[in-house]
Amino acid sequence: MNVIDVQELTKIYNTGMRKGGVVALDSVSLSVEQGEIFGLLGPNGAGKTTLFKVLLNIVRANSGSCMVSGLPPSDPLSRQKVGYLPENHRFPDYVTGLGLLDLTGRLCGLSSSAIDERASHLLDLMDMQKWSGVKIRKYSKGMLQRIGMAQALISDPEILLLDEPTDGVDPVGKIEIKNVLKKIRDEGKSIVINSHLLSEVEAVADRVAILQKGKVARIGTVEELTSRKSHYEIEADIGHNLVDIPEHIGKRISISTKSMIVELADPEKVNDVIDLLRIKKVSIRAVKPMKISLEQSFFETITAKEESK
Amino acid sequence: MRGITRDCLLEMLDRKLIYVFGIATLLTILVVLYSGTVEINFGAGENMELNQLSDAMGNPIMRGFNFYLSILVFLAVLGTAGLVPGMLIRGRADYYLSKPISRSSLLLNKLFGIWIVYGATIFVCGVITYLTIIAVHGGFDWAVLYFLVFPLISLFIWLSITVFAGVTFGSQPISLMVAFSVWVLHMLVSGIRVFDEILGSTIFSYVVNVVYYVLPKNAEFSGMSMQLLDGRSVQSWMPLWSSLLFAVVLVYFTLTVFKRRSY
Repeated sequence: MNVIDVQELTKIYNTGMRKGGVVALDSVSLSVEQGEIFGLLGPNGAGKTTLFKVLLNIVRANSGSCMVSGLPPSDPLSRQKVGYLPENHRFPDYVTGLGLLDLTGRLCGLSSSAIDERASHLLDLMDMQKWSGVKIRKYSKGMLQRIGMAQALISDPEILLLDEPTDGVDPVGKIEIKNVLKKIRDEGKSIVINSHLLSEVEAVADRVAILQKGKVARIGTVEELTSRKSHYEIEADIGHNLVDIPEHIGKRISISTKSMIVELADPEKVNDVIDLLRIKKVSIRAVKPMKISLEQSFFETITAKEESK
Repeated sequence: MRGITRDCLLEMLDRKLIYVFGIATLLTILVVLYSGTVEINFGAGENMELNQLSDAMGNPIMRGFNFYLSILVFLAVLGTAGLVPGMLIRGRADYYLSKPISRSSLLLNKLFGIWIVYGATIFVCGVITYLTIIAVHGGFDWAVLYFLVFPLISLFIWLSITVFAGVTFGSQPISLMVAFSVWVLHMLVSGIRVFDEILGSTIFSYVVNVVYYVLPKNAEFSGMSMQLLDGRSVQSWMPLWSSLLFAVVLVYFTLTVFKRRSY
């Protein structure tokens, strides 16, 4: 079941100066399923934050449609089950951490007892209990992110929209946040993360969309985005055998006495390479499709799109 | 009110505005205490005490009390002009607007939250000052409630203007400028109308009259409350209801603008 459904969404910001405005989202279509962690990647100005804002009715789209929990964003009830951590947030700084959770809970329509219960749990979870009575303006960047996470979770949301959740958080805090996200996902909740830290997204996300200049450049599971179907690593006792790969099969990228990396014209041709090795009586231990990091996949997607223009 | 009234109270306390109201009230109380000992010499070898002066000048103590309440309203307008623009700055607007509450409810809660917090402050300060006046000069009159209610109405009207300007322009200085401009324009138009009655009817006078009837007439509330205190009937309630109508229409326009805007 899709908890977020976006169809052909377009948002153009009127700048007043430039004719036609700035295209932030250009016919974006994607969906987020219940219980998955969805990563939203893209360079600055790709439209990631705008997409969040459209989903929350903070920004109005020019065309297209989107549904959150089966409701259009114009319906306040669509935000009933949504927790949101904005990027560059500026929470009311005249309240304490506990005060922010209280205000957020009330804005979400929670009862006082429910707020007390949730706030205590979340302050513990985010390791902010001892700072709960301190005014927010005295918080460090990392503490602001932690209390921001806590306010996003106060209403026990089904969908969590996080815009740069680990921005400014120390390494230990990042691991803690990552663990919290996995725990929330295991409870069957959906999380959409917008982050520049690709390794973190790779570690937690089930599916990823790469946005570029307002368009979805690539979308798929982390596995799909990081695997190279035409590249294989073959672990074998090659020794000093000279294994030449015919051009119609592919080419050899590298070779050592114990392994070889090949780039194939077609993934099916891997069998031809195995046959070649077997003819030379080479003992094969493993054949593995090559993987690249999400960061590399992201970089390749972005540069490929740039070059195609 | 979804915690927004409490939010407004916390913001006021944090910005230490309560002290400003407290200092204004303390100074007024000192003046009231001092006024109990005042004897004014009008010459001709005769001293005139304050109650005699009161008869001669039309209750100067209550006029002063009225002026003091106007100052409190002025302070409240100054202190609150930045609250709505402050709520809508980048990063904070996202926080408020992402909650499951309609934009209309959010803004109305904010408007009434500010009005309740600052109105209650003005009311309490007014009551304390009036009790001091009674203690020094005596003569309690329930009609004083008119003096305490009119500033609250006036505050609501000014808030409708500053909130409108705050939502439209997103700037505290512009909110204040708009409120000040409305006040100046009203005073100007009121003045021109007096001359116009002497000069006779023209298209210009028609325009002046339209502007006069459209704009809020808060400055005329003090005259109305003095009439009520003196036991006279109010000549015309038009300044009150037309000002309230102006505020209600402006709030409606503000909500329309707010609902359509992207942040």
